[in-house]
Amino acid sequence: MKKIINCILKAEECFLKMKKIQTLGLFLFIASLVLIIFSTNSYAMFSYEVDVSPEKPVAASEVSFTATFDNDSLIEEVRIIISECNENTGICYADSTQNLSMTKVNDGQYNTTASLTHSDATYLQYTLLLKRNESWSSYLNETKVDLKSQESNDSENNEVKDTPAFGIIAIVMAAVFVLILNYRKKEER
Amino acid sequence: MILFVSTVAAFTLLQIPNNTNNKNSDAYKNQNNDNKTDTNSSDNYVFQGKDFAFYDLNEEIKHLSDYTGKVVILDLWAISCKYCQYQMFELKKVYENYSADNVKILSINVNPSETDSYVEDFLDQFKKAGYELKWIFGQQKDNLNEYMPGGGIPALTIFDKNGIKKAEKTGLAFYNKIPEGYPSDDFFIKDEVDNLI
Repeated sequence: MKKIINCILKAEECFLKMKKIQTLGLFLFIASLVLIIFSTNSYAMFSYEVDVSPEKPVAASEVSFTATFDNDSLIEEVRIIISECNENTGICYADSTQNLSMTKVNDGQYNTTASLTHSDATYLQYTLLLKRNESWSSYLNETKVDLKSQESNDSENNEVKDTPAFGIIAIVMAAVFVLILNYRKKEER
Repeated sequence: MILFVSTVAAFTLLQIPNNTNNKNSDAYKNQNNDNKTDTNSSDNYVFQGKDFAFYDLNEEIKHLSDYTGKVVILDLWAISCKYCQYQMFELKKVYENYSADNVKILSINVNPSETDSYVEDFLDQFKKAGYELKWIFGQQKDNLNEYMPGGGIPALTIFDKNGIKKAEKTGLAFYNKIPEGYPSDDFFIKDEVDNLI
């Protein structure tokens, strides 16, 4: 109080002092904000994506899930829950539900492989679970991934096996073309 | 004075039978024919089926045999199964159209990952959306695989009043009408329940 009164009496000196106090106050305010932001761990933000490989898996085959986080410093554990369903019959397979732990393979990257069990499932759905501050929470609503049936996958593989025939035809045509060219050259001579 | 007291006493005595009827009014709620007396006392029925146990949401152990004398609809489901969620809307129609004295619905969750608190959250969400699901919900205790052939859910099994399995359906079952866009089906919950009541 005395300082303020003295300041009033010594205007110029006071002005400089107040400016320093304001600067100090602003610095302290900003510093406390920074401390609050970085000390309150649960509010740290991150983005993530989940890659499924293959993109359209085959029913009753293996599927790999890779979760990538841009900041996983506060993540203690990652799990994924998978279940298989059939859209045509409107059922999900209760015994197909898998709760799998994901292994950290790189900074921010977690991976697991699931073995699907139902050959007539038409899609799988998965939910990501994250453990932070010793408590679990789910991220991503259930995400649906369409499955290929084993029959359609087999027929695709058979088509691939048939394509070498085109290569043979091309070679034969090339050989015939070369022979024709040689014959014409001989005739010209 | 004596006349006044006697009048009050007479009036009071006349009211007693009416009050008794009011106490029972909830038991007849939603019943199709309110004039029918309740002949579905469990004393008339003996449990003859295959019993099984489950946990209700208070973690108390219940049995199928506890509901002898009532038609029981066993609904095996999981929160993660979206078709099971659709099933709840059809089961709500059953709940609203039959008296609790005649029909009991047991929705038992078969996903071990889905704890009671998850189920309660699920029910809370439905309630907030205006679809309060008031029947019995619980968790699996005994193995119920025989009631979900091929492991598929939703799976409905309907038991008669003696606890004998009478009907079953794997996949979404409709109350009495198939909504537009769904494949045709000859299984309707209403028909099955009416046959057993």
